Amino acid sequence: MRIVGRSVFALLILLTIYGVYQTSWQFPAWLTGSFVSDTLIEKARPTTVYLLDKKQWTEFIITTQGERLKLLSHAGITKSAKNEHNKVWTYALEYQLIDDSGEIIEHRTYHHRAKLVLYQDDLTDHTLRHRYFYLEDDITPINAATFTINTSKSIAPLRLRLRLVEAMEDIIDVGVRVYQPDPIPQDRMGVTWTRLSHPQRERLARGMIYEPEQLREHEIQGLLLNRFAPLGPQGVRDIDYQDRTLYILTLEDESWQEFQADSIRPNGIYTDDWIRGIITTPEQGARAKIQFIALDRIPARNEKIILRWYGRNLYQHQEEILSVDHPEFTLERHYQGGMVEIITEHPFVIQAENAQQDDPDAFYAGRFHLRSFTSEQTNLEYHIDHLNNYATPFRVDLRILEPDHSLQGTHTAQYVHYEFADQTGKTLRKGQLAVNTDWSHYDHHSHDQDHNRISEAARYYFALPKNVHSVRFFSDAPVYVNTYTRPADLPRKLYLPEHRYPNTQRDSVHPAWFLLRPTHVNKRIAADQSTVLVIQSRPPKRNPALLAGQYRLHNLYPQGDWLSRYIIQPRETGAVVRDTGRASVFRTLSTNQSQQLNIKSAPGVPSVAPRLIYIRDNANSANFSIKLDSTVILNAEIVNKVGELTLPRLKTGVHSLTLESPEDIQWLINYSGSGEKSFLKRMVYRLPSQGLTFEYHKQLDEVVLSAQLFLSASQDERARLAVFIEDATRSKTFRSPGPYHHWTFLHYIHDVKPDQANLLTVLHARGEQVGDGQRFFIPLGSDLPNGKYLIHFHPLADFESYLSLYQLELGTFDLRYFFADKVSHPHAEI
Amino acid sequence: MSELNYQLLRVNQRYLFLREKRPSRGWGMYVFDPQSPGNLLIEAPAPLEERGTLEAATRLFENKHARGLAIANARRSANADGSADVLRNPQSFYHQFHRILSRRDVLQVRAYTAEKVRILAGLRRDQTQIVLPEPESHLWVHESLPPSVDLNALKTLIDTFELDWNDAPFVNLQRDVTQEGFAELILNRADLRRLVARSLTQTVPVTNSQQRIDGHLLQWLLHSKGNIAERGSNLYQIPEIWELMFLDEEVLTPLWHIIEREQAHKPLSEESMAELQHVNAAASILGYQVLQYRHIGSGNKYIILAEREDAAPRRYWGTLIFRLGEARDYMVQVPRPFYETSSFELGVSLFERMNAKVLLIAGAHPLSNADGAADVANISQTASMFTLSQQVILRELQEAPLMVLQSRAYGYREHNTGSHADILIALRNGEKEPRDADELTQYLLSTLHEDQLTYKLVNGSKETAGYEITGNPQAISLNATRNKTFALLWGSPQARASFRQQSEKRQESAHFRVLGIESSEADLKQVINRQKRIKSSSLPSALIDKVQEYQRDQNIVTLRALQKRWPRVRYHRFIDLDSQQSYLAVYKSSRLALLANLNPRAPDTAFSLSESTPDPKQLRRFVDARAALLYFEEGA
Repeated sequence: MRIVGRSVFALLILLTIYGVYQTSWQFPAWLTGSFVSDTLIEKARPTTVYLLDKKQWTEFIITTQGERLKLLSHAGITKSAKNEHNKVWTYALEYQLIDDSGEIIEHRTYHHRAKLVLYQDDLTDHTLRHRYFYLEDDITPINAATFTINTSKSIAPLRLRLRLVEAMEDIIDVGVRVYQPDPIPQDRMGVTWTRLSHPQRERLARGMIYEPEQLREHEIQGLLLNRFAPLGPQGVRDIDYQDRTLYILTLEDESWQEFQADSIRPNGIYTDDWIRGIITTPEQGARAKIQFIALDRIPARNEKIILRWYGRNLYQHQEEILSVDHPEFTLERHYQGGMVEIITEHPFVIQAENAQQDDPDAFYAGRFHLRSFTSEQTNLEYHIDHLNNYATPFRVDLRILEPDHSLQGTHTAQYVHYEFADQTGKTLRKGQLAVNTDWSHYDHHSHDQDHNRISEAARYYFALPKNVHSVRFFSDAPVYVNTYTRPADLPRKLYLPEHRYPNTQRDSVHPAWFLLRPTHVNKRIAADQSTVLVIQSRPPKRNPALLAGQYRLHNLYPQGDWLSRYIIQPRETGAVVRDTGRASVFRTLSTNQSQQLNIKSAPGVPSVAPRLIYIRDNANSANFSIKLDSTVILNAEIVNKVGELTLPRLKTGVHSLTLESPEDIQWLINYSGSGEKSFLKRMVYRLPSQGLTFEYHKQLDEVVLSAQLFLSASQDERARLAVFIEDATRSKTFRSPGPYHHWTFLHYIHDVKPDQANLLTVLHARGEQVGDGQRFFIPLGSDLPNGKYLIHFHPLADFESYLSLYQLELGTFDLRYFFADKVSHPHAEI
Repeated sequence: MSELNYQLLRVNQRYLFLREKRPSRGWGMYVFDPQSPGNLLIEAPAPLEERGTLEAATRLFENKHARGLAIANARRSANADGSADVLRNPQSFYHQFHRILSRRDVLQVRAYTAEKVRILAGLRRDQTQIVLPEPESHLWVHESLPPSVDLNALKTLIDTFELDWNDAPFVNLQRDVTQEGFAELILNRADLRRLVARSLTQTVPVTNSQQRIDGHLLQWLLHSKGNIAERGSNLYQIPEIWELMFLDEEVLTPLWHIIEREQAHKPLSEESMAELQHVNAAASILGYQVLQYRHIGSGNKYIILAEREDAAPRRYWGTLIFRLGEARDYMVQVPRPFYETSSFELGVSLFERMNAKVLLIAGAHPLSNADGAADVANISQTASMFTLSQQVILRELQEAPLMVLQSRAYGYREHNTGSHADILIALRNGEKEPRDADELTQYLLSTLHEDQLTYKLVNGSKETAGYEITGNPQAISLNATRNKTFALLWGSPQARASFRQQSEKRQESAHFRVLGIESSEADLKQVINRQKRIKSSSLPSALIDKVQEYQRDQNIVTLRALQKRWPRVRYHRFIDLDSQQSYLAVYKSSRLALLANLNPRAPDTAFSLSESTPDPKQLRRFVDARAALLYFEEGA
């Protein structure tokens, strides 16, 4: 710390003294005031250029000996062409270098490329100007193109002959300046330097950091030795050559900047009225410091920014609306694991950093750059490889650029044509794939200047037969293509729960699909046949039917012998209690005080028999009593840690209930809504070491089965569970080549982290506890024909666990109830 | 205070710092320590003429816990009437400060000038002499020694000095008005450096590494997110001219002189080490540090001048790497490290392959600042540490030859014939034919040829049009030098792709991770030398074809097919520590049978090594050429 303190202290002093030492650092006076066009000539440096003819040589005599000649040329373009600022103008000069004996020692055609660059004067009025101009208004000289001719091995005098060989249309003429070495002899250096004015010295010392007077003596000598002098051509003006005065504005000052139509965008996440930003938060949550920078504007009043946080499940969701009143502002928020979607009304750049941890990338894990290759007239080809007798999985993502409606005649591709080819290049099959025209809110070009929207990816899958050696794509307008593959025998490996959080284990994740490179990839990149896109994670879709509880759950039952238990699992806060789910939803009961319960059942069912569950840490004998609507209906003793009992049938509606019991017992009741804290009584199957097999009859194009694995409370190491999906008819060729909209993985390995922080009670199992369930999904897509499938679950090591498997079906469904005409009596199952 | 054009600052929560507001009138600056236990006043009356006395005075001020520090900040000769000379003018602010704070306990810090040397030692500068010879340091005592000056303590800072109980034979107003307890310490250059260096406790850390410098730098870049100012970050700090002057005088110039005289295989001399500490201390003022790097295998040593990661504020001015000892006369520059993809890797590779003296790397993406100020290759942005470093080194080399190689990148151009060359070379001297090129250029071309990189000189052909050297501040500043040449090396997309860092490729590492093939970083030489080898011909040719297919397509299915078809063959992925290239090692019967570069420059290139006694030079050629396959043969 002492060193740092010293440094700060010394810096203050040292920088001050060096500041005084350097006193002559001033801008040229003419740059500090704005000038108008008639004064421009006075501020510019005039010089003469010699116009080259296509037939006649223009000849210069080189009289001095030196290392090189410098040639600068300016193409003069028509007035109408000068607005094409991004255009590259090309032309070529021919030159001959002839020695004193008349021998041509060098003869070459020199090709040039140059642009007409606009410059902006930041110190005055930000006026845009060209650096060079002629007084003749109908010709605009473009930027200088330069080249040098090495003359170190030639002996002066030399003749240099120049003429114009070729030039693009709109180039009216080409003027040149020729400079020959003009070294100052050693004995005249002192005098010459003294006689040079300060501006002359500055021009000579162009590129040097220090003022000319501050240079070392040998540096000044170098400048005087490396001096150049302009040359005029031989002959008579207007007969042997033509000339013109060129005016040059000096650019040596920092206030002159090459004009860029789009300013450099700050680093960060770009958003505007269409593009949304995504920041991801790690599993354990994080305090985010988020900086908002409005791009090139002052935000208008009432401008809003929406921050939407999505947590680990559907019901974890928050929305915040900010009012913007500054072009730059920072806020800090603590977010649980998940992601935050940022929606703005105007262009912003958002920079997020972790306020607590030193991980600058923590919030950017949901973004990546993707190089996408362009399919157009030329074939975009990918080699395919296969494993033995497997069909090879192949995925293609297609994106298009939104057409610029202001430009007439722009055409957007509707389809991409594809071909499968064999080893000889022969086409085996062809078809076309439609592109998507939904413009993405999340993906965009990585270039600052490209504001055109890109479409959401149209995604297709194929199972490529063994004889397919390559896949080719072409289209009648540009389409961005990315293709992927994976070894057919490779299981899909998922780490749970890390898989849900892009931030964790970024480098150890096993991708589902692996990018393929097109043939001649580097040549395609070099030929501008690719672009780089920013791809962002998508926030979860909040299905309104799911949020409204409009779904039903089908429990799936294993084949063969199996053992099931009930577990009591905390319920997701905010989830709606469905009419058909009231029996499974339990809420906590207060003890030793009267409380109102609103007993509800399915519509049309007048009464229900609620069940009570008790949970405690010991198995000592304890008495309890239940008084319902002023009547004691039960007075009993419990001796287990966990138990369940049924109350007499109650009419739906509000009832008063008092439960007299020791305080250390937790009591739960169903049919009473969810309350602040509620639980789900879920049936689970013990997973034996030989695994469990379920049969599922697929009847829809796409279904998603939900599974949960509950590891034993004593399990403190990760557990691996394999899942296989198999056609129940054992047919091996159930998947044709495609294309498909879905791809079903038939072999998973789930690498599951135990969750010992939230232990759950297993009912009727002598106080057994398990960790909270890790949920995973098994999608069965349209690539699998409808029919019966076997789903096998195999533990890959010896561990104790329970499994649940069910299908969630969205929609509203008619309910039918069957009643037994029998009056129940209160009884306890203790 | 404001009316006097001064402001009072509190520094380090201790010192009161009296400083002039801008524009300065050159009245001096003053520091007062209210917590000082003594009355010592330290003065530096002529720091602009006597370079180094400012640093020495501030160090003594802290070291002696002095009460006051007075520093003149105008040249003594600034005003024709002599009013700026604080040693003569009794009306100066400086002298008034002396009168008020002086408690017969004053130490003035001075240095030798040509005039003092002439008067004291009768020496004059010879026309051939660059450095003026100086006598021993001298302590002149007026009447009595200042009570706070302990002669023994002073000897711990500078080894020897002459003590003279007389007044120095120079005008000194402060001495004349002080009755006693006044001393003038006149230091020579070596003692100035010693005093500053010894009053600091900083050392120059040495890193000993198995990794060659190119590998170290490539890894540094890979993990340097945050070390180079990113595009749009606005983090690049535009240097002030006085910061650059300070950097020149106190850091770059002395550092270059150390580099020039030190040998690679010997420890640094005590003098150089002391100077290096001095340079390090000076660099730290601007948030920079000097590091030593030593490659254990070759013994090569490097000095690195890099910005401290914990510097506040970060400036992002760039990094310099100097090679100690024998080196060829090249300086390699990378002005746009991230913007021009893989130009960094090309530059680092050239630095090592050419055995160049210096490597210069810009510290910011050229578009990191919205106003474009971070683009050190733009003629409008001359005032940069990047350009300064070149100018200082070329200046100090005087007439010695040096070739500057700037690593750049070229890409797609509309309506233009693309070049098939890997590297386009634009020479400042206008040479267009390789056969006519000078010696340094010839060596460059032969190295590129050896590394199987094709090149073309910019010669006016259509494919090279527009790649001339135009408006490049580094090239232009060669005008002030002699015997220096400059070349722009434009790397093609294909060539640059072969330099792309292998470990950067997440896709590739995912292939190996997912398929359970182990990856590790290792020294390729050791991998080959330490492992048992077997002739490559023992492998099925279909396997080698498949390996080449993976090199070409980088398709994970091909890698998986290698595993499935030849289950007894073992695979391992090595990332070479030095070149940072990654290789697939193929083992048969636990013996190394083949090595395949996973991102070769040309797919059909192969080298052979003797299975029994591998030739390290041939291995080096294989690595440098980024060739595709390395076979093991009997007596190759």
